Amino acid sequence: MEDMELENLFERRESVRLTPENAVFTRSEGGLISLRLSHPEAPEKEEEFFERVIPLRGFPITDPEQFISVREPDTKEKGRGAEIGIIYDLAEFDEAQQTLLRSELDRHYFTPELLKIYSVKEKFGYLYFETETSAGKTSFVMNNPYSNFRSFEDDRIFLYDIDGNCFQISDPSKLDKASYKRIEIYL
Amino acid sequence: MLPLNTFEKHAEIAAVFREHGVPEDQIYFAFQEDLTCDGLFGEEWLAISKDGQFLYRYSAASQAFDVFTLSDLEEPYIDNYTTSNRILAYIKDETGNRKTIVLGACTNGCKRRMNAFMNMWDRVTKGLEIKEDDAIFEQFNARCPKCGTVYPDQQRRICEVCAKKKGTLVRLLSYFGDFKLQFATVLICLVLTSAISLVGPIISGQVLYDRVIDPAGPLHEVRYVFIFVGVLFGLALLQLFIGIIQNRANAHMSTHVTKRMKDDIFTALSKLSVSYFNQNSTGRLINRVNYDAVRVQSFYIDGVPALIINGLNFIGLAIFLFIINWKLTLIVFAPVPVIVIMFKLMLPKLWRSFSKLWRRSSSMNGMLADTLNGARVVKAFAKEPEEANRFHLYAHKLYSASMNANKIIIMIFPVIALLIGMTAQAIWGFGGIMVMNQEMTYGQLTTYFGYLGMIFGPLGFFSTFTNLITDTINSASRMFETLDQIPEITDAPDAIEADHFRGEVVFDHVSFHYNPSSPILKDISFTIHEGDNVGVVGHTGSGKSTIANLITRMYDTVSGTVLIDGVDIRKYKQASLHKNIAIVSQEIYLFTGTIADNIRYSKPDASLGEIIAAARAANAHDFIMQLPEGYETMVGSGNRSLSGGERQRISIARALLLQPSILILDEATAAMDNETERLIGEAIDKLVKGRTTITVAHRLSTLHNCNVIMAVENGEVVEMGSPHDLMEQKGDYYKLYTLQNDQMQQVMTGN
Repeated sequence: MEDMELENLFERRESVRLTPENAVFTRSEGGLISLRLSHPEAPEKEEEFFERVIPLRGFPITDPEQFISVREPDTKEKGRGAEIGIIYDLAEFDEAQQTLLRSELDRHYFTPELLKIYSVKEKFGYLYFETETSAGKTSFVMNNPYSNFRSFEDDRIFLYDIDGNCFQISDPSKLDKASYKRIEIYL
Repeated sequence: MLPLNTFEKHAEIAAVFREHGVPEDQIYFAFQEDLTCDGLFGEEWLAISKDGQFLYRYSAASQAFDVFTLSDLEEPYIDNYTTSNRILAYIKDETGNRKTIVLGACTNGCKRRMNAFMNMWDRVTKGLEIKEDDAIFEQFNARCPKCGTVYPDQQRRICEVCAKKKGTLVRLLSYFGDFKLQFATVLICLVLTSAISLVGPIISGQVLYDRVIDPAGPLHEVRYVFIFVGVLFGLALLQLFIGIIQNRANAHMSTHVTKRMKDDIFTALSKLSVSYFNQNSTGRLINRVNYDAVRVQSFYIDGVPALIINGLNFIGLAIFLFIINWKLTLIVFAPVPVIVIMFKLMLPKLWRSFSKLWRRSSSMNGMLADTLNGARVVKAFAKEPEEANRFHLYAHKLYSASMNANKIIIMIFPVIALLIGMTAQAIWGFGGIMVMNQEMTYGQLTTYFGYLGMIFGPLGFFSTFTNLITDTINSASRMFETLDQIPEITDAPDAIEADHFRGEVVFDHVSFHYNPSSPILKDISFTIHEGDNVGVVGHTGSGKSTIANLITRMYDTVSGTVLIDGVDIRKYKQASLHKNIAIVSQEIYLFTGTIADNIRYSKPDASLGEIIAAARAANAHDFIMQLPEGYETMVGSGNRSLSGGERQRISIARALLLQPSILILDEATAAMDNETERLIGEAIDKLVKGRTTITVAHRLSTLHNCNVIMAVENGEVVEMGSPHDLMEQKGDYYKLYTLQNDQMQQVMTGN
């Protein structure tokens, strides 16, 4: 009996590859994601239902749609949530499930796209931005533009504000001229 | 309403709540969020009623007003994401199934408030009362550590008083404050030099030619030729002499100023908290101290004097040129607007290309530092060619950035040279005609040409100066960026000095994270009594080391308090904490120097006897004595390499030398064999009798002397008590113990 308990403690769920064959993601009643997981390869195993799962990106910057880890939430009793499985490529799933997962992922890696930059004012060494983003109008403050504009090889730019929030410009050349001019000197 | 978020400036929100039958005096506390539940920017409010029965939610975007019964919401928690956070809770439906719902969301901007809100909610459900002066509100009255002003915007801690930066150049000049005499000398010398160079052409042209050489001149005698040539010669000598004085004064001043700047940057850097060093690469920081200060120095030595002298010359020349012949002068200045426009257009580009140049040079330095430090790993995986290639890549990038910057400069120059050349030809033509028409004398034309030759000097200088100045401003603003960085952890103005601690450590509802998206410690509370020998066990990443870091105040808690001897550690001077608490961590750093120096680092005035005693206690004495140079063996980068265990023992000796009131061993003996570990354990026990010791360990054998065991799991203290009690409880400690014992037995029996 005691040995059993001990084994349970160190037993981890075995993470599986999640495909449309074994996994169905649905919107939960609370607006989050539920997962129904079957085990076609092991028919003796029962179908599992997770009321809420958390998708996480393995490569959030370069490959946001590949290698998505799907996990149970952390709980008081069980501690850190275990990984249920990995989606190798989001595109394997149907459109509806893709949208569902993508919206939850975008929420997690909340990085609004800057569509318009209305003004950038420098005051006492801090930059005050007034912007229109993909998530609505917002303003934010940045210091040390030298370190907080991060550009990538593919021309993408990340902007980090003083709270640790992140904004992105996926293609600076597509910004309107006036917006681009306001940030040009920091690039 | 408690002072978390109030309706003070939100009359319209108060009105909405009133409409829904919730007047302001019915609300216990409220929290304003900046994201809607759909993840868009927008205003939402959460409020808990005074009787602790209801949670209200109002969304300004959708105008929706929801009411939840608090007792229906189970286990509310914050889901931390990278840049946003959500409050989630379980709610039971009619069939008794639990479902997760989203109650609110915010960006990292209101995260502190969200944490406070959840903490208060938790207390409400436990039936505890929260008062207006509760400690939790203190974090929203944060003051600037530099000047003590309360931040006007608590979400964004910007101190407008301190941040008031003068222009970068003005601020650079403020460094000259202590060198007024030298500065004045340099200025006077510069003015004199400029005046002399302006007088020269008048004597050689209008005086020597028009008055002496010209047959019609009033002083047409040979001796006057000698006199005025003599004067010219004297002026040249005088100029040389002034130049020497000026250079001496300048050299004295600028070297001091640069030294002071380097000192300032280094001091500012060393004051910054550990988190700053985690975020910035070493290469970048080294570049900042060296390259940037040198850039600024060269600006002082070459740039500033040249700027002043050229500026003065330019103004003087312009005046003289206009006086001698304004018509010709208009021709001279004709190309100036073109030059100015060119600069206006090119300057931002130039600026950017220099900034890029710096970034590339700093990433190359970073890469260099990285590879050289990791030389062992590079060799172990035979990656030398790849590393060389990587370096070539960085070098090439640097090369292309520098090429790019130069190309812009090269493009500007020939155009300017051409413009200047054309102007000179034009002046010869027009001037010649004017002399022939007797509108001006030949002497005047000579003087004019003398001046003209001089005016292109400053013009040329100004055109190169722009690149010196852009470079300097770039360097200087990065330097000031460092100087202005406010350390996250600072002493309170009324911080107390403590010579000695009794050694009681209390964690009171402490939460901590390095990164908001991954909480490390979740609201933990425990007490370590004076003289306790506490062993902390738990999985990797469970938060054990963080507890150690918080006791020494390497980081401040996100919420909650750490108390030593009943006093919040934020009220002690940091120096007092570090003098009385010694920590030996997993990360060992030996400075370049002798072993004795390294042990003595914690207490520079320690006697040799004390050093040996500490080394003995750390079981390091024997191996040190076997080294050819004993305690004087050089260690640190580039010197004799010691094994991991030996290095750990030196760092333990370093900590023991301090005779600390509280000793924290954070996996300090992990790299040692069991026998050595046992010996050290015993020695430490003797040394720290009556002191508080906290030992973080994976191996339970390390903890055999502990009278209290604390098991940490997932950022929470799951068990705490004497080893005996915990074995009885059969909890995590028991499991870990049985597991390690089992493994041991398996090894022993060979299964």
